Amino acid sequence: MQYTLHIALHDGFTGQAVTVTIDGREVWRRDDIRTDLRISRAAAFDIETAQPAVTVGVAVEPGSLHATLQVNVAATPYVAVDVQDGALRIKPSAEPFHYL
Amino acid sequence: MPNDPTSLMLATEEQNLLPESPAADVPLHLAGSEPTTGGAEPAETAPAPLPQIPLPIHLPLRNVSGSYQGVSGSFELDLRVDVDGQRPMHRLSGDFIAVSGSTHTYFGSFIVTSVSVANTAAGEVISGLGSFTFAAGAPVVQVTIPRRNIFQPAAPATVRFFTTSNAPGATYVCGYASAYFRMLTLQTETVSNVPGPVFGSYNTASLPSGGSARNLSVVSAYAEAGVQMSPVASGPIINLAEAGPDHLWSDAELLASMQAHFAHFSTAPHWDMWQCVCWEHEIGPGLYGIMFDSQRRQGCAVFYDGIGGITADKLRLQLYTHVHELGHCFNLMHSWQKSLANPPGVNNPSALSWMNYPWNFPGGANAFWNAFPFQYVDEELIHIRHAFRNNVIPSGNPFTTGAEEIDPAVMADPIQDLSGLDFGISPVQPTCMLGEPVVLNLRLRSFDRRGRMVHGNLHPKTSGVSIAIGRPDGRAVRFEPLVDHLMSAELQNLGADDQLSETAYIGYGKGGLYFDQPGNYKIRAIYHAPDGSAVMSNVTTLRVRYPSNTEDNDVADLMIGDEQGALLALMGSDAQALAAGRTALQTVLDRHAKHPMAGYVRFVMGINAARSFKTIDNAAPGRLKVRQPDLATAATLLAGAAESARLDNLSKAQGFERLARANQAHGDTGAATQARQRSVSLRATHLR
Repeated sequence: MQYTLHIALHDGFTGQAVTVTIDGREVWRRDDIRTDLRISRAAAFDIETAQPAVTVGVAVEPGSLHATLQVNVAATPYVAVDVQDGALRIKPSAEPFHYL
Repeated sequence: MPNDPTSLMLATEEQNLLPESPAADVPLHLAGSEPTTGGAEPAETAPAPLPQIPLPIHLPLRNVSGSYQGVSGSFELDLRVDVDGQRPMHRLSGDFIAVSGSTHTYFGSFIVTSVSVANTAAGEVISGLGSFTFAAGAPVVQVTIPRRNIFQPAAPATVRFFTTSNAPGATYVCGYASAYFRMLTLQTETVSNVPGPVFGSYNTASLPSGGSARNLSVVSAYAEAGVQMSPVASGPIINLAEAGPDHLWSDAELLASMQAHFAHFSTAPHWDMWQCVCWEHEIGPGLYGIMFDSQRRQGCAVFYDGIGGITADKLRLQLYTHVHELGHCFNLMHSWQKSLANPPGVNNPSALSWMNYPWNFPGGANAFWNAFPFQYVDEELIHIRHAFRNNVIPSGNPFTTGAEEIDPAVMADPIQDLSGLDFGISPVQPTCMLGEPVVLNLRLRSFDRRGRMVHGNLHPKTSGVSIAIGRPDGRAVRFEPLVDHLMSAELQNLGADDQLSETAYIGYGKGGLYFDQPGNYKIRAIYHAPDGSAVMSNVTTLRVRYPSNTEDNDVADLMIGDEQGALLALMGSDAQALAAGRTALQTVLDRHAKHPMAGYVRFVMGINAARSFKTIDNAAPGRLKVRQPDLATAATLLAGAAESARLDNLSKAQGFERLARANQAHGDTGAATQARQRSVSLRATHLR
């Protein structure tokens, strides 16, 4: 069975390079990620995985920020990533994200 | 342009909307001091008084809060008083409009954040020290408003400005305008594929909430905030084809649609907003709304794929989304992002505000809705009601920018321009090297078919034109020519197809070097028309780039300096005081003859060589030493300058005209004719 993990980068991005890994494998990398302050959203993408639970890793440079989180993709397929007070925060959700 | 609307002015009686009140000798007390007593009520124009009939009961008094308008001298004042009524924020604020001839230009704003209020015989006296967008000479504000009962017309507000040492400044008598603090229009459009009804109103008692039960529409929600939002007729339904073949809206498509449909679309600040009801944005159904016009904040869109429906929770979400996006148009940021504004505010992620995300609220969305009173928090209300005009008005400062980039006194767009003239400017070189002389093209046209009477003094060295420069560090300075030329104002009729043009070096003046830092500059010129109108040019931009190689760096070092600037402004000089500058410029020719900047040096040296130069010399007969023109050198230098790709043709033409006159004066008719032909040819090229 395939699961879709929806990852959204939200607040606190001001032009950094962001790398996202799933179970240690790099799946997404972009430079110059910036939060759009009108909707508090910087970027979003989907990852297909065969595993119902994965470890999501995020690295942000400059700043040497790293964070990982075990995510139950079946139960919480939506993951928000924020940079807050100089630290990365990964927050899973059962509901899709909304912006306004 | 006048300098300070708070300082004492000689106002003529007829310039006041209402008669001046007798001098109310009200002692001034700033916030925190004791209440004032005494003072006189402003006199009002009224028919012969009727006999007073004592009333058996005291009628309720009108609130004094609201907006007022008045005139003093060459300024209009839009005043806002916010001390009673619905959610008073205890503020005074106002905007000054400079009136010159038939032009009205925003000048600046003020806010009094700490007011004292006293009930006196003269009425309500509200006073405090103001913060201004300009250097106010009399920054203490005192407003006196006589009390009226609810059956009487509202009384005018007498606004007096005082210096901090309590000396009187300007006085404005402002008539009551409205109970609202801001008035604007809202044009709402709908796209053809949006099914079902567009939001009308929501009864806040339909679901649990934290506020009183009431029916709220977008208009009434803003009315509660003190904003009169007047809906204007929308056009035909927007064709979905404007969203492109994918039927999903991008920000660019929304912008294009707004430009096509928004009746009040403008790049100049204006109190109008545009809201578009769409189905879906290209980001997806998770995007409920967006203020897509982040540069000008004129327009926003809401997406009914996410918020559409007729259930109570959907109507609540529609109300929230509509009001939220319009909040962005007022330059409000999300509750948890206030610290990212410029200047920064205070984050409040638990704010029960239109500008929060309910689902981000501590405790979750249900906790938010259960407590939400359907209103802005105080800080946001103060911003909407009292922020400096350009921080809140659409097409003012860009989204998130609260600080004034440019002094509004010199960079503001005209509110009204009935001069019939079009004044345009552009830099000869939009991108300059550091140290390169900055030369401006100025053109005046009439768009009145009957023509307009104008003077032809377009050069800023005359009093006919003034120029403002917004520097990369955010400061705005007025260009002041090194030498003022008092020019006669000979008038001519400028027909609809005619144009006057001029070029002007604006790199150096009484203020020193104006473009001595790399970065982006904004420039605006003002043509002072014979009828008193201040005709604003476009704002043009100029980029001064860093030297890209060693030679550029060396040349920049040689070109930058007060003496070099003075030599460029004066088109050369033999003055001993400028000897070091001449040496530097000569070094440019000696060491960097092929550098693009050498053309400017040849030009000013050629002009100077073509003329005689007189200096006081006590040893010389008659104490006057005259250096005669060196016409051969002048011809060589100006011919070299004419090859420059950086120097404009009009300047080159003027150089050859001078050479022609010098040759003529020395009897060399052939050389004069040759130079004149060159000048005519260059001028024709410029006009093309």
